[in-house]
Amino acid sequence: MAAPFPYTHYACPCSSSSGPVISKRASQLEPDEDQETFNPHDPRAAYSLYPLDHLLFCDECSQIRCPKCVNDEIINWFCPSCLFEVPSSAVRSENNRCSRNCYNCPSCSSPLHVTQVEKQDDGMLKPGDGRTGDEAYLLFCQYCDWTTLDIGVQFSRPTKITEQLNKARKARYTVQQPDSEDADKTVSKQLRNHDDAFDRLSVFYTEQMDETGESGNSWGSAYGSPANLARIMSLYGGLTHGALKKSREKPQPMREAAGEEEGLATYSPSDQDMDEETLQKMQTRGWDETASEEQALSTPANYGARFKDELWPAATTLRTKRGKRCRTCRQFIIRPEPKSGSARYRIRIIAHNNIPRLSLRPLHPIGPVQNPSFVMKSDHAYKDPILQPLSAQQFVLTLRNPIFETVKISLATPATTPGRVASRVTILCPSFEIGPAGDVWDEALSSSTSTIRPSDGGRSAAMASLTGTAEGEKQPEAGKIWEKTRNSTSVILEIVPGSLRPTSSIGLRDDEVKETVEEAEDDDVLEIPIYVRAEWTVDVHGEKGGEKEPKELGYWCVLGVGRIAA
Amino acid sequence: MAARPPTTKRTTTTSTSLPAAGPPCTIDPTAVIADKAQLTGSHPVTIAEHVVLHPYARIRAEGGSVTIGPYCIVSEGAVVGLPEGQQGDVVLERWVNVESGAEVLAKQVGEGTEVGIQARIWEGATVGRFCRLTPTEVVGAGEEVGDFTVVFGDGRRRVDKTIVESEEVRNARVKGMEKQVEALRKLVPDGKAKWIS
Amino acid sequence: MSRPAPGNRRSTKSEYIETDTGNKISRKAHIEGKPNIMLGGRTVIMAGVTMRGDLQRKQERPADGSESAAADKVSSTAITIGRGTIISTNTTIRPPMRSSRGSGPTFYPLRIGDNVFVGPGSHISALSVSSNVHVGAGCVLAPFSIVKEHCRILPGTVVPPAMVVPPGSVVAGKPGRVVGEVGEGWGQGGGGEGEEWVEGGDLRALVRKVR
Repeated sequence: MAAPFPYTHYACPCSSSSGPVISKRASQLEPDEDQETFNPHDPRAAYSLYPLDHLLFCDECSQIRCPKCVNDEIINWFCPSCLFEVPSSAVRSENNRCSRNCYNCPSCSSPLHVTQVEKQDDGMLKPGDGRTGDEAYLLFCQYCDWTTLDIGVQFSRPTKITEQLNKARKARYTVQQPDSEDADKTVSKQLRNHDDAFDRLSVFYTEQMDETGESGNSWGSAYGSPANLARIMSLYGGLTHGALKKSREKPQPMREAAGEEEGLATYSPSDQDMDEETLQKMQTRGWDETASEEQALSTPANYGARFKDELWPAATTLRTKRGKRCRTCRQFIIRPEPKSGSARYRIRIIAHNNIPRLSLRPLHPIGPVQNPSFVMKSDHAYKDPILQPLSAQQFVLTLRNPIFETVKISLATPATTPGRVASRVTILCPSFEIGPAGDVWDEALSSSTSTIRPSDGGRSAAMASLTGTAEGEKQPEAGKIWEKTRNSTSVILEIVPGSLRPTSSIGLRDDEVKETVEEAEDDDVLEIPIYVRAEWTVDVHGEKGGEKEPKELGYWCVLGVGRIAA
Repeated sequence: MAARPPTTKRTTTTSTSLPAAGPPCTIDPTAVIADKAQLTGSHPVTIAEHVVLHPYARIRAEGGSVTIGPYCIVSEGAVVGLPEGQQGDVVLERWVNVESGAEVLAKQVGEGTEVGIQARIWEGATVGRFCRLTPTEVVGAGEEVGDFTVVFGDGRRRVDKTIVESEEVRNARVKGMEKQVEALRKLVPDGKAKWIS
Repeated sequence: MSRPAPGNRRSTKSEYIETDTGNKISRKAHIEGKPNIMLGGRTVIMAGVTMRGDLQRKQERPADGSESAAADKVSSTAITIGRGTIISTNTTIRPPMRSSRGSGPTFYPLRIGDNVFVGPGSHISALSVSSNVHVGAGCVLAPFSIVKEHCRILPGTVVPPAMVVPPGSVVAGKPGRVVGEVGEGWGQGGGGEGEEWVEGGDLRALVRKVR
């Protein structure tokens, strides 16, 4: 995991069949007895652990939802460059690309800009400002200086670039009439053009379908539709009864495309000249002039491109805004505003607001605590915390309650962490309560004064917290809460990191140890699986004092503490 | 920020931190040297006509002389010249644009070249005419970069054919530089007096 | 220019000058063109930051610029920064410039939104950086790039000139490309009492800590 320490990842229950299930009865939930301990070093763990900001919550099912257990539903398509929303009807015909003036540089993938070529005196290359005249325009990459002049294309006006570009492309790869001598070669040259080959093939197959009487009612226009897919499946030996029957009725199979006219490009010995030519070119021009695979795949127009000067600008691919539905109850749990430039949501039910959150920090931090995302000085580089093996260390585990009810928490963790390096973990106070979250206003009002100490701490503890000298006065005690605020509770976690070398190997030489122990990657990362069970009650019909309904939620978390020193 | 009285303190500290006597300078009267630009070291510095040194730009003549050609722009945070302990001269030809935070220790940078934001050219390197280093790119020590080369995308290089073939494009770039200098002249107050003794 | 107020609460020892609206400006920051810079309040400008407020847009008449240059001193705000934004050490903020037809090259005003974090050693010449954007260390936002809300620019990214980064994108690379989307819960939480601040979230708590 690339996340900086200490981190908390939450396991989505969807990925393991034996994973914790939610139930209304507490008695059914005994994580340590009837469920396997979550092993963060298991290769499969990586697929179920998520940072909190990627997790959603379904309030109907009262369950965490991860990107794997929601269904995406496309709300709209838009161009990331001009933020224009493309109607869904136009998306396919435009090949999922922006059909306005948005292009990406074939050389470096940066956006290209329409720029006026100055014939006369004034000024540097500059973005076109919409005036027309007999100026020439080109697409220009302001990052790597690529221009359409590199492929010999200029535009007569700054608008409708797509149209002009297509025209230029057509002109470049003209089909000569079949009676000319060179017909074969031009056709095959043309077939290198992906779109062209596709057009020819589709024309051919449409004709075939017409001839066989299979005349697709909508074959010509709607390729990908399931009905057509089914028909194709049945043509090629489909398995359904109806299909079999059909194929018996029409024993004559459909003819396949057989020539270049029909869109089939085959290898013929006469191509060898061209290959030779290509090879020659590659030799003389060298690697730097050869198009990379990534460049060649940037747009269908570049599929056959071998050299950089054959690369055409790639129309910007569209992006989508997606709503997300719970896979179980089908309700929307994420529904963004359809406007492409907006970052707002109409519906957003996220785990952050619905499950208690865990955070870990060392009790006696060595040096200032760093948050690597917020390194503010260049010389304060973030370093992974290093844990000394076999020496007990104490950490403060804080649970925060986002729910508006008091929540009873029970924590469970295996006494030793699973994986090759077993570390001992003890939660000094595994069950406690967290106060309810107030609304934002309450929080703002109380934020300056809210730290409520457990009663035993009293004044001295409060003083200690103010002066930051708590160490001397307050000792972690088993069964006692360390710290409590309105909606968070902290407890102490004692960790004895295991040794990377098995204890029996002491006295052996280094190379011998290596032979006996196969060290896997990230074995030295100390990750603690913790099972969190939260119980609370809600008013059934939203009335206070009415009937209370108990609720319960259980999930596995993994706390990343640091790396164990070798 | 706006209505705050200018903090005089900082200005004074800046000017006092400068060496009392700067390097021996030859500065053309048409050059614009911002008040907070720095010229350090003891080797000769030559600044040609229509050069603009932005505030906090630094000409470091500590390891050798520095020559800046006509219509060059050196932006804030940029450093031109070798540090103490290294030896060699640095020459920028005409129309060289050294962008913000760039560091030029090169032997020579050809005309019309743009050294992008936070780009670095290490000592002994030479960069040809009308090259472009995109932001944060690096040219290593002693390397030679040919004319019309674009260094981009984490060390990739390509020759910009358009500019090789088209004189128009080259002229446009040169014009652009000259216009930029004109525009900056109105925005950056000149403070070269203190460097001319 | 109304929000930031005069009257600095100066104390000789602290590194930061705090304005009445809670902006904290390091004494070691290099700020040019102060009248053209607007800070929204509770914004931090750290040591070594260079801000080029002097590179403002000048209304100019074409052609005979030399004569009228002194006459038209119509200036405008060059750099606008919102609330709770943090500009880390050694970052440069410089308005972008391009030439438009008729008048020579001009600088365009640069806007940075609220709760934006800019990592150390970055360079911002973008046209706009919207609110709740997290820019990692050593990034370059090239001239006229536009970064929309809730974006995350990973450390060392070069956002190419005039690129538009749609809301909620993760950008990385040289040149920068959109490599992913932030999670729906990105930027949630943080800012609360005793809580860790989060990327893209409310940075007030972090601002309070800077001193």
